[in-house]
Amino acid sequence: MITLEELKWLSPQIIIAATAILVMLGIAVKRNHLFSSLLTLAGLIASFICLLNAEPGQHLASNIFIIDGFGNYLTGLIICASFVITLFAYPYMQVQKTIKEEFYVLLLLATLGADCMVISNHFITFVLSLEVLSVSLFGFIGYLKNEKFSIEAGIKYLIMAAVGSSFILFGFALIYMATGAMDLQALNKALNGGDLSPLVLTGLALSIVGFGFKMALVPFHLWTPDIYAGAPAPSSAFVATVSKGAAFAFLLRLFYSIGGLSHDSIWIAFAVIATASMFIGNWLALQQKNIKRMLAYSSISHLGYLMIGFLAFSIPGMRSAAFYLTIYFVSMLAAFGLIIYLSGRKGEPLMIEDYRGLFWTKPWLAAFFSVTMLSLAGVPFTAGFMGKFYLLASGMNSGGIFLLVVLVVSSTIGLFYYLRVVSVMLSRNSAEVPEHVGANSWVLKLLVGALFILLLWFGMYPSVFLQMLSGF
Amino acid sequence: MDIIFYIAAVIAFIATVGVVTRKNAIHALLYLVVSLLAVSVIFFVLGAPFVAALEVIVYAGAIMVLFVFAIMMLNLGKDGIAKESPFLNFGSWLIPAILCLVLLGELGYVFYFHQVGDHDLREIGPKEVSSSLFGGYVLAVELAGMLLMAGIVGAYHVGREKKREYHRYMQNLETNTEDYE
Repeated sequence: MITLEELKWLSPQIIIAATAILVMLGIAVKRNHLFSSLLTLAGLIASFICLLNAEPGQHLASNIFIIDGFGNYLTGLIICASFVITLFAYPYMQVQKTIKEEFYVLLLLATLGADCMVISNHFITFVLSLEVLSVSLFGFIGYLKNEKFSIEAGIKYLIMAAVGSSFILFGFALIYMATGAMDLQALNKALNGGDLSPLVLTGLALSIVGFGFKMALVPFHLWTPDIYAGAPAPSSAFVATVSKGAAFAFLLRLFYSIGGLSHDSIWIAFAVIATASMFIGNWLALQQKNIKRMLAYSSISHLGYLMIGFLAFSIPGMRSAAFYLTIYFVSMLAAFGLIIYLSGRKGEPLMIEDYRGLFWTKPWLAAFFSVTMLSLAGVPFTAGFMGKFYLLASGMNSGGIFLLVVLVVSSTIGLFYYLRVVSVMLSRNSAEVPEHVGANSWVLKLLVGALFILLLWFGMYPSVFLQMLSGF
Repeated sequence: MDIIFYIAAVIAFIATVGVVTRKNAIHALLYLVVSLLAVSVIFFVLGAPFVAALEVIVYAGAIMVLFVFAIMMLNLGKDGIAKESPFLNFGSWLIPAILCLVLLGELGYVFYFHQVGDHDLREIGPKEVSSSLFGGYVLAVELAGMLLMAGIVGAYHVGREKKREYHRYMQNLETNTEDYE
């Protein structure tokens, strides 16, 4: 039976679920965009406060959730990202010609799914939270249903998510058939650390396909650019950060707890996926003219980098992956934040050409955007450099030199397209920036400024954040 | 018992292939009903009568009937068949089918080498199912509730139609509750 203590451990998740219901009921009583938005923010803040008061140590809630340092850190990260996306979404949705309030219900439910996923300890909770995340994302991506591309992206995501989930389910079913265990501790005991039978290996391989879909790693990445480009920018930001981060968290938990990475064939499979993601992501990003598609390919390569921390298969590797994930979240949110800042009634500035001459009309904004791009590229004194530095350090300890060489070479390729955006912004163009939502929203201005400071802070003085990671 | 299992499995397999290859949506759905019924027989043989009953009532019964009604109301008919036909030409499915057969062969190989122990089947009745649903897995059940909510809110938003146009006089009365759209 479930006890009160277990409910206390799960209070951050419960608060988010309750907020989602409250926002929905609020809509039923009276539609008010500002109220829904504020209620969402309040729920996320309350949930975060609960998380800060969490007892240290590892707890199991009914054996299907595990509350530990790693889970708490990622839960906090996801809540912060949702908070930022909610703030982005308000001015963005304000100018859209559609009903706005359901957006926040879907956002909260997707956050709930992601939060439950990072603390899952059981196949059932993982699959359920994955479905909560994917089903709400489908409505979330196709939210602007008057726009053809948005609804098309929604349907594409629905189909892809269903295919990915079915692979994961089949894989888990095979693992269950071989071991008779579904929670991670029992699985670890049944597998006895290593020596995986062909059936378990097949199951793991099928679930890797599913995880690949969710995280958009290279042979399974084809859906990403269409969905990023078609979805409204706040939804794209959510898919790029929260959805991928949560899937990565459970992948790490699963393979670390069953010791799967000490098995050579699995390690090689992941190494090939990581290498392909880094190269193909960066190479395809070079050819893009649409900035959201470019960010999509860039996120594919970033997930490839992240796999290096995962493949280190050690506690430092896990820490460096969590640190890189944080930096990736901040950089991606900043990049999408600037797209939202410049979008208006007529839509978003999708093409890189739309940013021509931004340095001459809006110097501060262009400076922020340049720093974001440099951080994504991993230039020193920005967050991205520190993240890659720790990934390299953890990879070096575990001896995957080949992967490190790939990281360095593909980052160099990546530098080119990030710098191209900067050079387009620097070129002279006297045209005025069209009407955009950022111009009269102090929230957006503050938020973009805060993300900018965070990017530089991570890059120059990361020890504060690294201390938070020492708990697991 | 084994022979029933294999018959049901073969029926499920053939019916599912039928779902994919039929061009008429209604025919495909009827195959799907057969497939679900066969799966429920498999559940029954494996000692899960409660799940078998649920499969019949919920999937084959409620959901499929809704599907059939929805498709009939859309009245796809000949246009639908004409649209579907080009999807199923020989060239487009041949290579994926061969690749899938290779994978199926690999999977068969894995199963061939996996020693299945003696079946010690135990019947699991509704009481046991419900006590685990409301015992250890109650949090998962709650999460499934949130999943339904996500589905409903998403479907409601996407499927929502324009509000009806009122006469000008009526519009004035309803000013505040009107949405954009």
